[in-house]
Amino acid sequence: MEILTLLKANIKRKKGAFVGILLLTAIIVAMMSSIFSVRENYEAGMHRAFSESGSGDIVAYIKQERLTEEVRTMVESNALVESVDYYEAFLTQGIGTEKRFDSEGHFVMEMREGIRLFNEDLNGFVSEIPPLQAGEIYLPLGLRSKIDCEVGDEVSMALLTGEYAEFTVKGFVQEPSQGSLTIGYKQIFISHEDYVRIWESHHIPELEELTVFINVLLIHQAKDSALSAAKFQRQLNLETRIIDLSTGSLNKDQSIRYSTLMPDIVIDIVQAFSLLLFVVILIVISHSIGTEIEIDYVTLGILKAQGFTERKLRTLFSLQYLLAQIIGILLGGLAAIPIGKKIGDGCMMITGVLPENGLSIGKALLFIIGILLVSIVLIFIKTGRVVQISPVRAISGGKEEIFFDSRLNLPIQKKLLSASLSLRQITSAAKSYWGTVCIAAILAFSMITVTLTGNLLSSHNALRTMGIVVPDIEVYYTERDSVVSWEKIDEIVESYSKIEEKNFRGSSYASVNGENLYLQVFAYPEYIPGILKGRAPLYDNEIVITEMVADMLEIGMGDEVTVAKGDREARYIISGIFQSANDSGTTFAMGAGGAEKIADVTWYSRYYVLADAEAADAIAEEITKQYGDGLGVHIYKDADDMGMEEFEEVLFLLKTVIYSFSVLFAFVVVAMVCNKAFIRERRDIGIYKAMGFTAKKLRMGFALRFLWIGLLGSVLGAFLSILLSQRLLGIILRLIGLSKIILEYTWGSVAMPAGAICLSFALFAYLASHKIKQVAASELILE
Amino acid sequence: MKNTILSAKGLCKSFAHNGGQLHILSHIDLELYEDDFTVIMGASGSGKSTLLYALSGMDRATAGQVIYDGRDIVAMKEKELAELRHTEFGFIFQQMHLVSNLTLFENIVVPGYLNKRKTAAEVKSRAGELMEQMGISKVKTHLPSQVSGGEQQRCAIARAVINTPALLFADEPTGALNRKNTTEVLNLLTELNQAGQSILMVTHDTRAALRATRILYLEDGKIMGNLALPPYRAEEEKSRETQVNAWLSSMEW
Repeated sequence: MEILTLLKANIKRKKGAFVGILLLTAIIVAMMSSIFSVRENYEAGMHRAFSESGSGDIVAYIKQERLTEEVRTMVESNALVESVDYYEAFLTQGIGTEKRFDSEGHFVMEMREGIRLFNEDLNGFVSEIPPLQAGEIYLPLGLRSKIDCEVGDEVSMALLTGEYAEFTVKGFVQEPSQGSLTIGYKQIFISHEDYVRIWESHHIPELEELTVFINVLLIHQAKDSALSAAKFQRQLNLETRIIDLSTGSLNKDQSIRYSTLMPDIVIDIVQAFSLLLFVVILIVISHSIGTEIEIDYVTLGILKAQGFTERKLRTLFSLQYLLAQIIGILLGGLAAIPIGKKIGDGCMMITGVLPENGLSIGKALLFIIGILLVSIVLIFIKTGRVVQISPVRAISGGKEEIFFDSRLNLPIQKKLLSASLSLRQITSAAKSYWGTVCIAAILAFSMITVTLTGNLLSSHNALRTMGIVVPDIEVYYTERDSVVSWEKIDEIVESYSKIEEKNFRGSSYASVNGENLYLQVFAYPEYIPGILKGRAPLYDNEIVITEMVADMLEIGMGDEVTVAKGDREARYIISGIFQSANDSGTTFAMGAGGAEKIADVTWYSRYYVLADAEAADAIAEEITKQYGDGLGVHIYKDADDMGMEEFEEVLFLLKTVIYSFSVLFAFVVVAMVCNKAFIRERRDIGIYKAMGFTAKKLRMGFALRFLWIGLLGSVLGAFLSILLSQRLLGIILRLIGLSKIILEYTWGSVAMPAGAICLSFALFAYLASHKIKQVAASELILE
Repeated sequence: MKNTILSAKGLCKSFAHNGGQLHILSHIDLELYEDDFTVIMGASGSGKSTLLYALSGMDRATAGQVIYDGRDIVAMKEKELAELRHTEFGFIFQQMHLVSNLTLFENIVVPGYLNKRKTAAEVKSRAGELMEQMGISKVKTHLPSQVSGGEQQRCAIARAVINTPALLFADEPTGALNRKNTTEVLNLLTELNQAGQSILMVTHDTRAALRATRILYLEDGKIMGNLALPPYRAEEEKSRETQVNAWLSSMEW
């Protein structure tokens, strides 16, 4: 009973600390619980969507002439195959609105069974799908943000004939195999009338050589087969070559992986950040208990003298902090429901699939129990100091000097009086501020890391390490039968700038030991970016693979593999390991000579890296002047041109989340620490006022003190970042096949987060120290 | 004829108490003179310290005026009061109130640094002289917690006069000191006064009051008596003590 009375009194008196701990706990519980649910929900949503859409375990796109009766029979009769659904489609050169255009080749087909139509609010499906009329189109949800369109908008489809077909978006559909934002080619649905019309228009001699008409095979794995979708695809390919014969294919595992990759990365980063924030909470609790014991030294002595045992006093502290945490957990848990829903909606725009609505109670509970257990241990350790309080010493005021227990001889200066006094406050009570410095360091580390991650996309050097070529200019045929001398183009380019690098590049899919993988072909393989081990595939019988492919197929440098494409195959030696984010790291590369062994290689475009990137505009102008419409020129300006706008947007979102939460945490922490400092220094504030300091000057002193703390924390944060950011990101980005990344530290990447930390610390300290106004010099009076 | 350095007219101070008003000072009219060592005496609760802080602008009077240099301190804004404290007034407290994380030297120079009319070198030089005068130069780099109460109070006196204030306010400056330290502090204050420093001191210690050139007796928030004395001389202490005690007895002290 007496504990309850004291508990109530303590909470009332120290409501700042109570509310602070409560808020911080609520924030991380809300973050963690919501993202646990979000991840479970979109993963469950993907599996549900696959089962209800009948998309099959493998989707294979095969040229009509290649799908012979023999191939059909072979696939259908394979013991691993339950059934195969066949649909027809034709290829396009892209689709877009006036605002955005997506130049991926999409498969256009008539509406098929199993596809579900989202309702207007995009939070469920319509029960009956209205049939499409001429001029109407259903788009997979992933295209909504990619081409920035809504229901009712006009979209243009670039046909292989060079013409454009106009459609009105009638709705968005859930197509789980390729409907996500992150998968390039998609299934698009139009009316029977339009399909027939366009299909007929494509039967022209100019298109005879090209891949235009496609059979879409939805291959279902035998129910009694226990193979994963990836292994099923590989095995089926080895037995039937159906994947090698296909223009493209995707198994269910790949679809789920590619679709959920971006949210997975975001969630991993947010989880890591939340754990850091939990460390911040522990530091705050530790600091709060420490200063509370110092401030209440006499009160605790009196309580001891009145018969309160050490155990009771420690229980009092524990209850006080645990109660704040428990209320925080409840509030955070409640907040997690709408937050999870909101994040889930955001993820749906990436995965293209309606997520489930469940709550990940198990994981959230585990996390909460973890929080409480760690907190209890910490509180138990920190309240150990209660044991040392001697009632007699405390009551007689004979406690040890606790406020200014160490000091450095930093002089007090007239010119920088407030700054030097504020620095003295820190150095003379270093123990009270190390926790806050650590918190500033953790927040600065998080902000610097996310800033550096964002900068990855704007650094050519960093992109190259990740296996991404960053040209300055690319010249391409606008018509497939154009005849242009590339040497002539080289001459034009060279007349404006020295060429650092030039290359032809192409891409397709081919299988390595039966596994269908994204193949990158370079005319000059010595320029293949991102080589980690070994060397580039300089000879015709060499390839380089990523670490992910090496792990997946259990192969390595020096091994010999079979690469197959269509009806051709050849043996290659692995000359090196490289990294590339293409197809999330499941890719391999070779030179043009090697590629010619399995396919006919024709180059339609050539890119240049210039010594003088500024010359790109003049080069483009000159080429257009000389070749007119026969050649197209694309100038690469930024990440948008690299087709990375989605990554940019996600990184921007991440940056916003981490900056916002860091500032919010800074606010709560600074308010709490300031409040404690204010209680401890109330007498000193009175003295300074008696000396002639104004409240404004003293508040500026508080702000400066926290500016120093923020600055020191930022320096430590920058060091932490140099030590850990690269490794941490390496672990997370391994998901997309990038194990080695180069973070480029610039003044901006450190100064911006450090500035944000320092500024928010100083500003919040100034705001939190408003109570200084209430302290009168007359408080020093003893009547 | 002495020059008035500070005057109070109709000075009142009251506090809310049990739903009513508790009047500590009622309609005090008072003049303090240049070069005087004025001492306010009175029983506990008579309002001596309240009067000192109301006169110094440390605390706001409820009503009335306190005129210093033609300006009413009661009506001054915080910034003006702060300016007044570090340029015109000095304060000595019973509990010394030194800033615990500054050395004795730094405690003295900090208010000096606030004074825009003095350079840092001038402030440091003056602080050195004062420390010498107060006999604390050997402990200049010590923290307050590392020196005796007497040394702390001497440091507080040096801090109070670093800006050569026109008026020095002292609230029971010997209240927390032993006999030896009390004498040392009183000697210092006397020395300062005899060098031209105007002082207003609150005390309930008769020995301290002997140093005054003028004693005011306060009772129930009103000035009940006023005793003028010649400048203090150690050899005349006995006779002075008799005179003061007799006067205090007449005030029913």
